[in-house]
Amino acid sequence: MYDTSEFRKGLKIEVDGHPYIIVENQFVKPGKGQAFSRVRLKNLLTGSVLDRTYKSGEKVEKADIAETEMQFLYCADDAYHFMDNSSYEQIEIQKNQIGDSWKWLQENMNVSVLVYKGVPVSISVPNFVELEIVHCEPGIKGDTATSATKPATLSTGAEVLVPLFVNQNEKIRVDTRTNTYMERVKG
Amino acid sequence: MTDWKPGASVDTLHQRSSLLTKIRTFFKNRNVLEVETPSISQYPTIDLHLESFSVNTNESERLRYLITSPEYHMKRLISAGSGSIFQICKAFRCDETGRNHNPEFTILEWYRVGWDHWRLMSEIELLLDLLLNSGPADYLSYCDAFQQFLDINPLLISQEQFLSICGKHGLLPPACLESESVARDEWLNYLMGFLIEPNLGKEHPVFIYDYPATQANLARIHEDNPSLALRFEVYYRGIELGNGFYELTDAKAQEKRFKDENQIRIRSGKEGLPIDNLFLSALEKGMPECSGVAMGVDRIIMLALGKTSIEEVITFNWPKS
Repeated sequence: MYDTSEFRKGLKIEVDGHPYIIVENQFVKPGKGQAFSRVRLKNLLTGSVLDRTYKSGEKVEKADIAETEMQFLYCADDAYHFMDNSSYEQIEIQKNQIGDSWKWLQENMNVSVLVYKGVPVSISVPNFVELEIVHCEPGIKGDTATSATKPATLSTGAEVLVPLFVNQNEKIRVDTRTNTYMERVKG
Repeated sequence: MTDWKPGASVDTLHQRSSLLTKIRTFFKNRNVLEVETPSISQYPTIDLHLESFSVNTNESERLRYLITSPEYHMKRLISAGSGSIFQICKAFRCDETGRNHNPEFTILEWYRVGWDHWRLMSEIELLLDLLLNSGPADYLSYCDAFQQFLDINPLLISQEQFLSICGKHGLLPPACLESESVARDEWLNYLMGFLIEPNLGKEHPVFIYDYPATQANLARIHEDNPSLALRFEVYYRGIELGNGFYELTDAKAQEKRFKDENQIRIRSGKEGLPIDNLFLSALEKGMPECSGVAMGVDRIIMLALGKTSIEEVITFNWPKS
Protein backbone atom coordinates (compact mmCIF):
# COMPACT_ATOMS: atom_id res chain seq x y z
CA MET A 1 0.00 0.00 0.00
CA TYR A 2 1.05 3.59 -0.61
CA ASP A 3 0.21 6.47 1.69
CA THR A 4 -0.88 9.73 0.00
CA SER A 5 2.33 11.34 1.28
CA GLU A 6 4.22 9.03 -1.09
CA PHE A 7 2.25 10.23 -4.12
CA ARG A 8 4.41 11.59 -6.90
CA LYS A 9 4.50 11.69 -10.66
CA GLY A 10 5.15 8.26 -12.10
CA LEU A 11 3.85 6.22 -9.16
CA LYS A 12 1.74 3.25 -10.26
CA ILE A 13 -1.40 2.61 -8.21
CA GLU A 14 -4.46 0.38 -8.45
CA VAL A 15 -7.84 2.18 -8.52
CA ASP A 16 -11.19 0.40 -8.85
CA GLY A 17 -9.41 -2.71 -10.10
CA HIS A 18 -7.39 -0.96 -12.82
CA PRO A 19 -3.69 -0.02 -12.96
CA TYR A 20 -2.98 3.71 -13.17
CA ILE A 21 0.09 5.91 -13.25
CA ILE A 22 0.07 9.29 -11.47
CA VAL A 23 0.70 12.04 -14.03
CA GLU A 24 -0.02 14.99 -11.73
CA ASN A 25 -0.22 15.34 -7.95
CA GLN A 26 -1.48 18.37 -6.06
CA PHE A 27 -1.64 18.92 -2.29
CA VAL A 28 -4.74 20.89 -1.29
CA LYS A 29 -5.38 22.14 2.24
CA PRO A 30 -8.17 24.64 2.50
CA GLY A 31 -7.72 27.03 5.43
CA LYS A 32 -7.80 25.08 8.64
CA GLY A 33 -9.50 22.10 7.02
CA GLN A 34 -8.64 18.52 6.14
CA ALA A 35 -5.82 18.12 3.63
CA PHE A 36 -6.35 16.30 0.34
CA SER A 37 -4.33 15.04 -2.57
CA ARG A 38 -5.75 15.63 -6.00
CA VAL A 39 -4.23 13.34 -8.58
CA ARG A 40 -4.58 12.97 -12.30
CA LEU A 41 -4.28 9.31 -13.23
CA LYS A 42 -3.64 7.62 -16.56
CA ASN A 43 -4.94 4.11 -17.06
CA LEU A 44 -1.92 2.00 -18.01
CA LEU A 45 -4.02 -0.36 -20.12
CA THR A 46 -6.39 1.98 -21.94
CA GLY A 47 -4.63 5.35 -21.66
CA SER A 48 -7.82 7.02 -20.38
CA VAL A 49 -7.37 9.80 -17.83
CA LEU A 50 -9.11 10.09 -14.47
CA ASP A 51 -9.05 12.74 -11.71
CA ARG A 52 -9.34 11.58 -8.11
CA THR A 53 -9.13 13.23 -4.71
CA TYR A 54 -7.83 11.44 -1.62
CA LYS A 55 -7.91 12.41 2.01
CA SER A 56 -4.35 12.94 3.29
CA GLY A 57 -3.12 9.77 4.92
CA GLU A 58 -5.48 7.57 2.91
CA LYS A 59 -3.90 4.35 1.63
CA VAL A 60 -4.09 3.03 -1.91
CA GLU A 61 -3.01 -0.28 -3.45
CA LYS A 62 0.19 -0.55 -5.44
CA ALA A 63 -0.50 -1.56 -9.02
CA ASP A 64 0.99 -4.99 -9.70
CA ILE A 65 2.40 -3.87 -13.01
CA ALA A 66 5.90 -3.81 -14.39
CA GLU A 67 7.77 -3.38 -17.65
CA THR A 68 10.10 -6.20 -18.64
CA GLU A 69 12.67 -6.21 -21.40
CA MET A 70 11.98 -9.11 -23.80
CA GLN A 71 13.22 -10.33 -27.16
CA PHE A 72 10.81 -11.00 -30.01
CA LEU A 73 11.24 -14.58 -31.26
CA TYR A 74 8.60 -15.38 -33.87
CA CYS A 75 4.94 -15.11 -34.75
CA ALA A 76 2.68 -18.10 -35.44
CA ASP A 77 -1.10 -18.09 -35.91
CA ASP A 78 -1.54 -14.54 -34.59
CA ALA A 79 0.38 -15.38 -31.43
CA TYR A 80 3.60 -13.43 -30.86
CA HIS A 81 6.31 -15.21 -28.93
CA PHE A 82 8.81 -13.40 -26.72
CA MET A 83 11.63 -14.36 -24.40
CA ASP A 84 12.28 -12.63 -21.08
CA ASN A 85 15.90 -11.42 -21.31
CA SER A 86 16.66 -12.06 -17.66
CA SER A 87 14.72 -15.24 -16.87
CA TYR A 88 14.84 -16.71 -20.43
CA GLU A 89 11.20 -17.64 -19.91
CA GLN A 90 9.09 -17.64 -23.08
CA ILE A 91 5.67 -16.05 -23.29
CA GLU A 92 3.11 -15.43 -26.01
CA ILE A 93 0.91 -12.39 -26.62
CA GLN A 94 -2.12 -12.34 -28.92
CA LYS A 95 -2.09 -10.03 -31.92
CA ASN A 96 -5.04 -7.93 -30.66
CA GLN A 97 -3.05 -6.91 -27.55
CA ILE A 98 -0.10 -5.74 -29.57
CA GLY A 99 -1.97 -3.03 -31.45
CA ASP A 100 0.03 -1.48 -34.29
CA SER A 101 3.36 -2.65 -32.90
CA TRP A 102 3.34 -5.78 -35.08
CA LYS A 103 4.40 -3.55 -37.97
CA TRP A 104 7.85 -3.04 -36.50
CA LEU A 105 8.65 -6.42 -34.95
CA GLN A 106 11.75 -8.14 -36.30
CA GLU A 107 13.28 -11.30 -35.00
CA ASN A 108 15.65 -10.73 -32.04
CA MET A 109 14.37 -7.17 -31.50
CA ASN A 110 14.24 -6.05 -27.86
CA VAL A 111 10.86 -4.67 -26.78
CA SER A 112 9.37 -3.60 -23.48
CA VAL A 113 6.48 -5.81 -22.33
CA LEU A 114 3.96 -4.55 -19.78
CA VAL A 115 3.03 -7.31 -17.34
CA TYR A 116 -0.08 -6.75 -15.20
CA LYS A 117 -0.80 -9.22 -12.38
CA GLY A 118 1.52 -11.73 -14.04
CA VAL A 119 -0.16 -11.45 -17.47
CA PRO A 120 1.57 -9.67 -20.38
CA VAL A 121 -0.88 -7.05 -21.62
CA SER A 122 0.93 -4.84 -24.11
CA ILE A 123 4.30 -4.12 -25.68
CA SER A 124 6.19 -1.03 -26.71
CA VAL A 125 8.72 -1.12 -29.51
CA PRO A 126 11.81 1.14 -29.76
CA ASN A 127 11.11 4.69 -31.00
CA PHE A 128 13.37 4.11 -34.02
CA VAL A 129 13.78 0.92 -36.04
CA GLU A 130 15.77 0.11 -39.17
CA LEU A 131 14.02 -1.96 -41.84
CA GLU A 132 14.59 -2.99 -45.45
CA ILE A 133 12.29 -1.83 -48.23
CA VAL A 134 10.92 -4.91 -50.01
CA HIS A 135 8.85 -3.02 -52.51
CA CYS A 136 8.59 0.50 -53.95
CA GLU A 137 8.63 2.27 -57.33
CA PRO A 138 12.19 2.81 -58.69
CA GLY A 139 14.07 5.82 -57.37
CA ILE A 140 14.48 9.03 -59.30
CA LYS A 141 18.18 9.75 -59.29
CA GLY A 142 19.29 13.12 -58.02
CA ASP A 143 15.83 14.13 -56.80
CA THR A 144 16.66 15.09 -53.22
CA ALA A 145 15.10 18.54 -53.26
CA THR A 146 11.38 18.00 -53.70
CA SER A 147 9.21 16.91 -50.84
CA ALA A 148 7.23 14.50 -52.96
CA THR A 149 6.89 10.98 -51.55
CA LYS A 150 5.87 7.47 -52.64
CA PRO A 151 4.63 4.47 -50.66
CA ALA A 152 7.13 1.75 -49.68
CA THR A 153 6.51 -1.69 -48.18
CA LEU A 154 8.99 -2.80 -45.54
CA SER A 155 10.18 -6.29 -44.70
CA THR A 156 7.74 -6.55 -41.79
CA GLY A 157 4.76 -5.59 -43.96
CA ALA A 158 4.60 -2.01 -42.67
CA GLU A 159 3.90 0.74 -45.20
CA VAL A 160 5.53 4.15 -44.95
CA LEU A 161 5.91 7.12 -47.25
CA VAL A 162 9.47 7.64 -48.48
CA PRO A 163 11.15 10.35 -50.64
CA LEU A 164 11.33 9.67 -54.36
CA PHE A 165 15.12 9.03 -54.40
CA VAL A 166 14.90 5.99 -52.11
CA ASN A 167 15.22 2.56 -53.74
CA GLN A 168 13.91 -0.94 -53.20
CA ASN A 169 16.25 -3.17 -51.09
CA GLU A 170 17.64 -0.15 -49.28
CA LYS A 171 17.47 0.03 -45.49
CA ILE A 172 15.73 2.99 -43.85
CA ARG A 173 15.23 4.33 -40.33
CA VAL A 174 11.62 4.88 -39.26
CA ASP A 175 10.08 6.70 -36.28
CA THR A 176 7.59 4.15 -34.93
CA ARG A 177 5.63 6.75 -32.95
CA THR A 178 4.68 8.78 -35.99
CA ASN A 179 5.03 6.14 -38.69
CA THR A 180 7.47 8.36 -40.62
CA TYR A 181 10.63 7.92 -42.67
CA MET A 182 13.74 9.46 -41.10
CA GLU A 183 16.72 8.61 -43.34
CA ARG A 184 18.49 5.98 -45.39
CA VAL A 185 20.83 3.65 -43.53
CA LYS A 186 24.09 2.57 -45.19
CA GLY A 187 24.96 -1.10 -45.34
CA MET B 1 26.52 12.82 -6.12
CA THR B 2 23.20 13.79 -4.61
CA ASP B 3 21.59 17.16 -5.23
CA TRP B 4 22.99 19.36 -2.45
CA LYS B 5 22.18 22.66 -4.11
CA PRO B 6 19.52 25.07 -2.75
CA GLY B 7 16.11 25.39 -4.41
CA ALA B 8 16.33 29.20 -4.33
CA SER B 9 18.80 30.95 -6.63
CA VAL B 10 21.28 33.48 -5.20
CA ASP B 11 19.27 36.21 -6.91
CA THR B 12 16.14 34.97 -5.10
CA LEU B 13 17.99 35.01 -1.78
CA HIS B 14 18.75 38.71 -2.28
CA GLN B 15 15.15 39.50 -3.20
CA ARG B 16 13.86 37.45 -0.28
CA SER B 17 16.12 39.31 2.12
CA SER B 18 14.97 42.71 0.88
CA LEU B 19 11.28 41.70 1.17
CA LEU B 20 11.87 40.61 4.78
CA THR B 21 13.51 43.99 5.45
CA LYS B 22 10.47 45.72 3.94
CA ILE B 23 8.18 43.81 6.32
CA ARG B 24 10.30 44.70 9.35
CA THR B 25 10.44 48.37 8.32
CA PHE B 26 6.65 48.41 7.83
CA PHE B 27 6.13 47.37 11.45
CA LYS B 28 8.92 49.53 12.84
CA ASN B 29 7.33 52.59 11.22
CA ARG B 30 4.05 51.64 12.91
CA ASN B 31 5.58 51.08 16.33
CA VAL B 32 4.81 47.37 16.41
CA LEU B 33 7.39 45.56 18.52
CA GLU B 34 9.32 42.65 17.03
CA VAL B 35 9.43 39.66 19.40
CA GLU B 36 10.79 36.14 19.48
CA THR B 37 9.02 33.21 21.16
CA PRO B 38 9.96 29.50 21.49
CA SER B 39 9.92 27.06 18.58
CA ILE B 40 9.61 24.13 20.97
CA SER B 41 6.60 24.19 23.23
CA GLN B 42 5.39 22.02 26.11
CA TYR B 43 2.01 21.88 24.41
CA PRO B 44 0.88 20.85 20.95
CA THR B 45 -1.80 22.48 18.84
CA ILE B 46 -5.23 21.04 19.50
CA ASP B 47 -6.66 21.36 16.06
CA LEU B 48 -8.30 18.48 14.26
CA HIS B 49 -6.41 19.13 11.03
CA LEU B 50 -3.01 20.33 12.26
CA GLU B 51 -0.38 17.84 13.42
CA SER B 52 2.50 19.08 15.57
CA PHE B 53 5.89 17.42 15.30
CA SER B 54 6.79 15.95 18.67
CA VAL B 55 10.27 16.31 20.14
CA ASN B 56 11.94 13.88 22.50
CA THR B 57 13.82 15.90 25.12
CA ASN B 58 15.34 13.19 27.35
CA GLU B 59 14.47 15.34 30.37
CA SER B 60 11.23 13.56 31.28
CA GLU B 61 8.65 11.14 29.94
CA ARG B 62 6.77 14.01 28.39
CA LEU B 63 7.20 15.02 24.80
CA ARG B 64 7.57 18.58 23.65
CA TYR B 65 6.25 19.91 20.36
CA LEU B 66 7.40 22.14 17.50
CA ILE B 67 5.01 25.07 17.17
CA THR B 68 2.46 25.09 14.33
CA SER B 69 2.29 28.87 14.89
CA PRO B 70 3.58 31.20 17.64
CA GLU B 71 0.01 32.13 18.60
CA TYR B 72 -0.19 30.89 22.20
CA HIS B 73 3.17 32.32 23.19
CA MET B 74 2.45 35.67 21.54
CA LYS B 75 -0.91 35.92 23.29
CA ARG B 76 0.88 35.32 26.59
CA LEU B 77 3.13 38.30 25.79
CA ILE B 78 0.07 40.44 25.05
CA SER B 79 -1.51 39.34 28.33
CA ALA B 80 1.73 40.40 30.03
CA GLY B 81 1.33 43.91 28.61
CA SER B 82 3.57 43.87 25.53
CA GLY B 83 1.17 45.93 23.40
CA SER B 84 1.07 45.32 19.63
CA ILE B 85 3.73 42.81 18.52
CA PHE B 86 4.93 41.01 15.41
CA GLN B 87 7.16 38.04 14.76
CA ILE B 88 8.78 36.41 11.75
CA CYS B 89 9.66 32.82 12.64
CA LYS B 90 9.57 29.21 11.53
CA ALA B 91 6.44 27.13 12.08
CA PHE B 92 6.17 23.37 11.61
CA ARG B 93 3.27 21.22 10.42
CA CYS B 94 3.51 17.47 9.82
CA ASP B 95 2.74 16.00 6.41
CA GLU B 96 2.10 19.25 4.58
CA THR B 97 4.11 19.11 1.37
CA GLY B 98 3.12 20.55 -1.99
CA ARG B 99 3.47 23.43 -4.38
CA ASN B 100 2.30 25.85 -1.66
CA HIS B 101 3.32 23.82 1.38
CA ASN B 102 6.51 22.84 3.18
CA PRO B 103 6.39 21.16 6.62
CA GLU B 104 8.80 23.83 7.91
CA PHE B 105 7.83 27.30 6.74
CA THR B 106 8.21 30.97 7.60
CA ILE B 107 5.28 32.65 9.27
CA LEU B 108 4.62 36.34 9.85
CA GLU B 109 2.28 36.72 12.79
CA TRP B 110 1.13 39.97 14.35
CA TYR B 111 -1.33 41.24 16.90
CA ARG B 112 -2.89 44.66 17.20
CA VAL B 113 -4.00 45.48 20.72
CA GLY B 114 -7.29 47.41 20.86
CA TRP B 115 -8.06 46.78 17.18
CA ASP B 116 -10.97 44.81 15.73
CA HIS B 117 -10.43 42.53 12.74
CA TRP B 118 -11.70 45.11 10.23
CA ARG B 119 -8.97 47.52 11.15
CA LEU B 120 -6.43 44.71 11.00
CA MET B 121 -7.64 43.68 7.54
CA SER B 122 -7.03 47.20 6.22
CA GLU B 123 -3.48 47.08 7.60
CA ILE B 124 -2.92 43.71 5.87
CA GLU B 125 -4.19 45.30 2.66
CA LEU B 126 -1.48 47.98 2.96
CA LEU B 127 1.27 45.46 3.69
CA LEU B 128 0.26 43.29 0.72
CA ASP B 129 0.18 46.31 -1.55
CA LEU B 130 3.67 47.27 -0.36
CA LEU B 131 5.05 43.78 -1.04
CA LEU B 132 2.98 42.69 -4.04
CA ASN B 133 1.68 45.90 -5.56
CA SER B 134 -1.70 44.25 -5.28
CA GLY B 135 -3.91 47.34 -4.95
CA PRO B 136 -7.08 47.69 -2.89
CA ALA B 137 -8.62 44.45 -1.64
CA ASP B 138 -12.12 43.03 -2.06
CA TYR B 139 -14.22 41.81 0.85
CA LEU B 140 -16.63 38.88 0.66
CA SER B 141 -18.35 37.00 3.48
CA TYR B 142 -17.91 33.22 3.70
CA CYS B 143 -21.62 32.70 3.02
CA ASP B 144 -21.59 35.07 0.05
CA ALA B 145 -18.56 33.27 -1.40
CA PHE B 146 -20.45 29.95 -1.37
CA GLN B 147 -23.53 31.67 -2.76
CA GLN B 148 -21.55 33.36 -5.52
CA PHE B 149 -19.43 30.42 -6.63
CA LEU B 150 -21.62 27.41 -5.83
CA ASP B 151 -25.10 28.87 -5.35
CA ILE B 152 -25.65 27.35 -1.91
CA ASN B 153 -25.99 28.47 1.67
CA PRO B 154 -22.99 26.82 3.35
CA LEU B 155 -24.64 26.80 6.77
CA LEU B 156 -27.50 24.65 5.43
CA ILE B 157 -25.59 22.36 3.05
CA SER B 158 -27.01 18.85 2.75
CA GLN B 159 -25.30 15.64 1.69
CA GLU B 160 -27.37 15.67 -1.48
CA GLN B 161 -26.23 19.20 -2.35
CA PHE B 162 -22.61 18.31 -1.62
CA LEU B 163 -22.65 15.28 -3.91
CA SER B 164 -24.51 17.12 -6.67
CA ILE B 165 -22.02 20.02 -6.66
CA CYS B 166 -19.12 17.54 -6.81
CA GLY B 167 -20.80 15.71 -9.68
CA LYS B 168 -21.42 18.93 -11.58
CA HIS B 169 -17.74 19.88 -11.31
CA GLY B 170 -16.37 16.44 -12.12
CA LEU B 171 -14.97 15.95 -8.62
CA LEU B 172 -14.85 12.50 -7.06
CA PRO B 173 -14.74 13.05 -3.31
CA PRO B 174 -12.95 10.45 -1.18
CA ALA B 175 -15.29 7.82 0.22
CA CYS B 176 -14.94 9.22 3.75
CA LEU B 177 -16.80 12.36 2.68
CA GLU B 178 -19.72 10.59 1.06
CA SER B 179 -21.42 9.41 4.23
CA GLU B 180 -24.31 11.37 5.65
CA SER B 181 -22.76 11.49 9.10
CA VAL B 182 -19.77 13.55 7.95
CA ALA B 183 -19.54 16.91 9.70
CA ARG B 184 -20.76 19.77 7.54
CA ASP B 185 -17.39 21.50 7.84
CA GLU B 186 -15.64 18.61 6.10
CA TRP B 187 -17.86 19.12 3.04
CA LEU B 188 -17.41 22.88 3.18
CA ASN B 189 -13.62 22.61 3.43
CA TYR B 190 -13.54 20.26 0.47
CA LEU B 191 -15.65 22.58 -1.69
CA MET B 192 -13.68 25.60 -0.49
CA GLY B 193 -10.35 23.98 -1.35
CA PHE B 194 -11.23 22.63 -4.77
CA LEU B 195 -13.92 24.91 -6.16
CA ILE B 196 -13.70 28.31 -4.44
CA GLU B 197 -10.09 29.00 -3.38
CA PRO B 198 -8.58 28.65 -6.87
CA ASN B 199 -10.90 31.45 -8.04
CA LEU B 200 -10.27 33.89 -5.20
CA GLY B 201 -8.34 37.13 -5.56
CA LYS B 202 -7.54 36.84 -9.26
CA GLU B 203 -7.05 40.62 -9.66
CA HIS B 204 -6.80 41.97 -6.12
CA PRO B 205 -6.47 40.30 -2.73
CA VAL B 206 -9.80 39.21 -1.28
CA PHE B 207 -10.75 38.90 2.38
CA ILE B 208 -13.23 36.15 3.20
CA TYR B 209 -14.81 36.96 6.58
CA ASP B 210 -17.44 35.62 9.00
CA TYR B 211 -16.51 31.92 8.96
CA PRO B 212 -18.82 29.31 10.49
CA ALA B 213 -18.27 29.34 14.25
CA THR B 214 -17.36 25.65 14.04
CA GLN B 215 -14.26 26.56 11.98
CA ALA B 216 -12.82 29.22 14.26
CA ASN B 217 -11.50 27.88 17.50
CA LEU B 218 -9.76 31.01 18.71
CA ALA B 219 -12.07 33.71 17.37
CA ARG B 220 -14.94 35.63 18.93
CA ILE B 221 -18.49 34.70 18.00
CA HIS B 222 -20.45 37.15 15.85
CA GLU B 223 -22.64 39.35 18.04
CA ASP B 224 -25.69 39.14 15.79
CA ASN B 225 -25.32 35.58 14.56
CA PRO B 226 -23.95 32.88 16.87
CA SER B 227 -23.40 30.48 13.98
CA LEU B 228 -20.64 32.77 12.66
CA ALA B 229 -17.27 33.75 14.08
CA LEU B 230 -15.04 36.77 13.55
CA ARG B 231 -12.44 34.87 11.58
CA PHE B 232 -11.11 35.91 8.18
CA GLU B 233 -8.75 34.59 5.54
CA VAL B 234 -6.96 36.55 2.84
CA TYR B 235 -6.40 35.14 -0.64
CA TYR B 236 -4.48 36.40 -3.62
CA ARG B 237 -4.23 34.72 -7.02
CA GLY B 238 -6.01 31.64 -5.72
CA ILE B 239 -3.58 31.16 -2.85
CA GLU B 240 -4.38 31.45 0.85
CA LEU B 241 -1.96 33.98 2.34
CA GLY B 242 -3.23 34.48 5.86
CA ASN B 243 -5.72 33.65 8.56
CA GLY B 244 -6.84 36.01 11.30
CA PHE B 245 -9.26 36.51 14.16
CA TYR B 246 -10.82 39.11 16.34
CA GLU B 247 -9.36 37.14 19.22
CA LEU B 248 -11.38 35.30 21.81
CA THR B 249 -10.38 36.61 25.27
CA ASP B 250 -12.79 34.54 27.39
CA ALA B 251 -10.69 31.91 29.19
CA LYS B 252 -13.64 29.69 30.10
CA ALA B 253 -14.99 29.69 26.54
CA GLN B 254 -11.49 28.97 25.19
CA GLU B 255 -11.01 26.04 27.54
CA LYS B 256 -14.37 24.57 26.52
CA ARG B 257 -13.43 24.88 22.83
CA PHE B 258 -10.15 23.06 23.40
CA LYS B 259 -11.96 20.27 25.25
CA ASP B 260 -14.60 20.01 22.52
CA GLU B 261 -11.90 19.92 19.83
CA ASN B 262 -10.13 17.15 21.74
CA GLN B 263 -13.39 15.17 21.75
CA ILE B 264 -13.70 15.65 17.99
CA ARG B 265 -10.09 14.48 17.58
CA ILE B 266 -10.80 11.35 19.60
CA ARG B 267 -14.03 10.63 17.71
CA SER B 268 -12.14 10.79 14.43
CA GLY B 269 -9.59 8.27 15.65
CA LYS B 270 -6.80 10.66 16.70
CA GLU B 271 -5.32 10.95 20.15
CA GLY B 272 -6.47 13.51 22.70
CA LEU B 273 -3.75 16.08 23.47
CA PRO B 274 -2.69 18.01 26.59
CA ILE B 275 -4.28 21.46 26.79
CA ASP B 276 -1.98 24.50 27.10
CA ASN B 277 -2.66 25.66 30.66
CA LEU B 278 -0.06 28.42 30.44
CA PHE B 279 -2.03 29.99 27.59
CA LEU B 280 -5.34 29.54 29.42
CA SER B 281 -3.85 31.07 32.60
CA ALA B 282 -2.80 34.12 30.61
CA LEU B 283 -6.35 34.49 29.26
CA GLU B 284 -7.71 34.12 32.78
CA LYS B 285 -5.46 36.89 34.03
CA GLY B 286 -6.93 38.95 31.23
CA MET B 287 -5.75 39.39 27.66
CA PRO B 288 -6.46 42.85 26.22
CA GLU B 289 -8.87 42.95 23.30
CA CYS B 290 -6.90 42.42 20.10
CA SER B 291 -6.92 41.08 16.58
CA GLY B 292 -4.21 38.92 15.09
CA VAL B 293 -3.19 37.30 11.83
CA ALA B 294 -0.70 34.67 10.66
CA MET B 295 0.62 34.92 7.11
CA GLY B 296 2.67 32.58 4.97
CA VAL B 297 5.86 34.49 4.16
CA ASP B 298 7.16 31.96 1.62
CA ARG B 299 3.92 32.22 -0.36
CA ILE B 300 4.02 36.02 -0.33
CA ILE B 301 7.63 35.95 -1.57
CA MET B 302 6.70 33.36 -4.19
CA LEU B 303 3.98 35.67 -5.55
CA ALA B 304 6.19 38.76 -5.29
CA LEU B 305 8.88 37.10 -7.40
CA GLY B 306 6.44 35.52 -9.86
CA LYS B 307 7.45 31.97 -8.94
CA THR B 308 5.01 29.07 -9.10
CA SER B 309 6.23 26.92 -6.22
CA ILE B 310 7.49 27.80 -2.75
CA GLU B 311 10.44 25.45 -3.19
CA GLU B 312 11.87 28.13 -5.49
CA VAL B 313 12.02 30.67 -2.64
CA ILE B 314 13.10 28.33 0.18
CA THR B 315 16.81 27.54 0.52
CA PHE B 316 16.39 23.85 1.28
CA ASN B 317 12.85 22.48 1.23
CA TRP B 318 11.73 19.25 2.93
CA PRO B 319 13.32 16.80 0.46
CA LYS B 320 16.58 18.80 0.47
CA SER B 321 16.74 19.69 4.17
